[in-house]
Amino acid sequence: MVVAGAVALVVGETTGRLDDTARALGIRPHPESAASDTALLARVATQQGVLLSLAQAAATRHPPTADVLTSVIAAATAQLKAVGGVAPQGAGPDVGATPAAAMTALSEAFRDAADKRAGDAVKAVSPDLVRVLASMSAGLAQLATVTKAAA
Amino acid sequence: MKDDVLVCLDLEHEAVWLFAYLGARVDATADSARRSYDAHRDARDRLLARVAAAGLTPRSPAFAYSAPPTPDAGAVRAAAREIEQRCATAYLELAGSSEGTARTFAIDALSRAAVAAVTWGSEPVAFPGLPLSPR
Repeated sequence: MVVAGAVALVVGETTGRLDDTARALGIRPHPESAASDTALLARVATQQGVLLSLAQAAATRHPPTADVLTSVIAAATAQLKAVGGVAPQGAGPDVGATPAAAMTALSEAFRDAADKRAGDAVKAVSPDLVRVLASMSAGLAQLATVTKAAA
Repeated sequence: MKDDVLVCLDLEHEAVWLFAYLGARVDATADSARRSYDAHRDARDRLLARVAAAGLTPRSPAFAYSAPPTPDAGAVRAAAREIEQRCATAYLELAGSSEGTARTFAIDALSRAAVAAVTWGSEPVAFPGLPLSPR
């Protein structure tokens, strides 16, 4: 979790967050980043926090899903930290009434987020942010696949 | 971008060869290998069209590639995960160095490779294709 630790150092900063995110993930930052990229990254962080709260709520409400959701929550948390987001607090959103319903809802949420990050990657200006968002989209697609298989 | 697209094409040639090789040798994973073969053949053909449209000269595929000599199902899955992860890394580079439809193609191919890796047994990771991706 060296990556998460390195990124945590820059949580709360706006200037330089993109460069630090890229550097923490092993890619060389571009010397300049567009203001639109900074706004995009902030929106991504907010949406990722909501997604993580959904996964955490599913694991809490339905303990049988914990085995699958441990690695899912770890990946979603690493994504959140890398984009400078803050871990959600509180009871979390309502999830499905059964483990299968919760996993289905979670899979659909990950799929939707994967599509949104892919669209964001198309629009991003900085090649570094393009890579981070494209990779994040692929990671979210993996999480959608894993949770769908467990539903 | 030119080098990145040619690297992706090289890998798709290798993947097409590898899944044909693996699919012909292990019955237990033959159906999965066939689906992967079809997916990579499609990606290879789309890349060949892009390379031609860009006026680039594609490198020829090798006669053969590295593969387990007497694979069992476990070796097939391991080889499949490895090639999918290498494809994900290559497509991520292409995504970062391209624009427009080429970038969209690379992002889609990256996602397909990452999902395929999980289907072949990889653990999901936060950032597929990135060098220091945490789990």
